[in-house]
Amino acid sequence: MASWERVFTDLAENRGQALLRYAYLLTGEAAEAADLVQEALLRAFGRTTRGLTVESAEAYVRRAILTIHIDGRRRSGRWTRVRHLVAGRHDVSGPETAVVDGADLRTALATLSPRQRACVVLHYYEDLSVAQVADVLGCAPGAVKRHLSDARARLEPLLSDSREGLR
Amino acid sequence: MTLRTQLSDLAADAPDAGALDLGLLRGRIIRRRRGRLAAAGSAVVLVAAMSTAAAAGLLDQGDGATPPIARTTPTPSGLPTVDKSPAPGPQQAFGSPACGEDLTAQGPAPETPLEMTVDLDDVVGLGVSGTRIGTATVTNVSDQPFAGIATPAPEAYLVHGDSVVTVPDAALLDWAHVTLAPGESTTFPVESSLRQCTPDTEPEFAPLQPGPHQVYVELRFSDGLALYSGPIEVEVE
Repeated sequence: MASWERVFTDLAENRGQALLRYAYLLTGEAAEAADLVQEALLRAFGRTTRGLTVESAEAYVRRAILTIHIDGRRRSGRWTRVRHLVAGRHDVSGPETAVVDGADLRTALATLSPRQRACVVLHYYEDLSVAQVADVLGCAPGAVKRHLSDARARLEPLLSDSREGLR
Repeated sequence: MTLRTQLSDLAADAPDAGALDLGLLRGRIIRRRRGRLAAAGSAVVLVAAMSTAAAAGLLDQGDGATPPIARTTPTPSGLPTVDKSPAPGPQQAFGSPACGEDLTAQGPAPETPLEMTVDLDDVVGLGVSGTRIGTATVTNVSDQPFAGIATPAPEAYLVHGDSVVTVPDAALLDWAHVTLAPGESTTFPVESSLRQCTPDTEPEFAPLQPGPHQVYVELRFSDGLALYSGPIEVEVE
């Protein structure tokens, strides 16, 4: 068995569930999360990089999951931005209403932009600091704080505890 | 309940590890690595066949010597997709031929910090501009960050016999910023009308002739850099 295959097997068997959970929080869809993880694994191990370890491979896969997800949502967002030009107007409640009415984290997360959602998952679930989130997303810490603040404003109705401060 | 706790609870609804088809994935990885190793730092030309049903089940998933062509595989969402693994080879540059002209290779493409791979979709609709026929993945294979401005989508040519039978859809008058860290990738949709063009009478289109065709894909950047893939063998039925 090639060295990359040992790392691949080790990563998939021991960290596969964690990667799926990470992808699931980003996408909110089980099938999409599985597709996302598989595509990221393909990118990570399809390269000819030598000296791959489980740790470095997981870091690469996590970054790839994020990149594929955000890029994919950005492209589908182009259609979202123009579809009102071709579809009839309907009386549809906005995302803010969905948060209030749904009172459900899944629904609330779906109203966030891909970057807002990524910030929430990385900061509150993956436990990364604001600076680390900024590094992962390739943006300024101030932008991360703004995304987290905007996201919290939408998620606030769901939270019964005191505010969790930013780190 | 804290947001952290709620996120953890939500994450518990994620699919279990069995949702990852590791055997299938391992086969795809082997084929991709084989292609990249053979390319050895140079560019890659993709050759894939579109004959999905005929090729299904004929291919092994191991690291054998026979290059795979196409294979129908279930995705976790239950929809069939086609895994077309490109065979390695030298990447050839080509010009921008008009309808009916030859698509003449202009020799090996200059080395670039980027690598483009193209995967064609299994089944595509015919007859309208902007039909998505696949995905081009551009990866920064250098050690340096890359920043450039590219056309919003690659241009796809379809060749039958010796001449171009489908030219790219009319280009959009805008550009896309491409910023990639080392090892980072981005994807573009590959679109084509998949209709037979007619020289000198561009608005006139007809269905493609049945038989083997070749797809060539080019992604251009504003500074003259260009990425090429092709030919990718497809069968029009």
